[in-house]
Amino acid sequence: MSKAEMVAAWRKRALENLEVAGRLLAIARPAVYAAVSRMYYSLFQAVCARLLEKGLAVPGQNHGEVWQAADTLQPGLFFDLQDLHSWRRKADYATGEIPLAIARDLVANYTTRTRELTAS
Amino acid sequence: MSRDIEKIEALLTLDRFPFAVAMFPGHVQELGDVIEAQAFDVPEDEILKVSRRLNQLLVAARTRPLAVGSAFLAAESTAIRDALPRTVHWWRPTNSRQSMPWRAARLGIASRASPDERPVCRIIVTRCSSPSAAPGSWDASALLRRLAPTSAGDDWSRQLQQVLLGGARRPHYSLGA
Repeated sequence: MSKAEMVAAWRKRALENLEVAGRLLAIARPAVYAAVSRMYYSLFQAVCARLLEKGLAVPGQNHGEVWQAADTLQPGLFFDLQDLHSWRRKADYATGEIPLAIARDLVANYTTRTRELTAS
Repeated sequence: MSRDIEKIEALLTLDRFPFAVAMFPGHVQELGDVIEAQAFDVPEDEILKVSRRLNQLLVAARTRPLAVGSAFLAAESTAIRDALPRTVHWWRPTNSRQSMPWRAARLGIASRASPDERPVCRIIVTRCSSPSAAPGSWDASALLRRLAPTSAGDDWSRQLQQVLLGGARRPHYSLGA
């Protein structure tokens, strides 16, 4: 797979998860945990796409290494990923509650960040 | 106590973080070994801000392994606190004044700057001591950074007045800058 194809592949997944995150909160019975989980992966994948686009390697499976690489793209991205990840842990590993209003705020806030990163 | 936890404690203290934080070694599948830092009894209307602030401080601590923060609502805190490992290390705010900036934020009179922006002033909110003040009044003072040029300081002072007057929606706030 070429570099351009890899960038497109990560970007496609980021945008797909972004769209799903929004929809999951818009349905009659909002799926709060799934939405927050999708939002994290959307931002994470958008970062991966941008790293590749800039000619930087996407570190293996350790998300923390991706966060650190992300901070070389934009200062503050490390923090965004870490903060959103703390909510994803509540969503995916049942370590805490996420009220609907909080989920809506998270998706709204990080949608902007993700869209900036996936913009060509 | 590890040097990393000492660093986190120092930042929490310096920041006057208003909630108790439990710290202990943990493991997260996609991160590996981590230092868990968990804040408890956080009101729902503050939890996003508290979580962001806690994680900002943890990022600033630059620990190895990575420190990851979570904030928990008051309603869920007891159960989570009961399940903490015995090795947990607690940091607690030391006096009530530490909660003042957060209380100010809840009252709607805090700085409009986002948490990501470099702070240019700190707002200190105290109980109003003037005998002529209405019961429950608050004084708000802004300490501008010395680095700010005089012109910026004047601008911030004006902006702060506008925030105080516009955000408080109550007559009993006063300003000293």
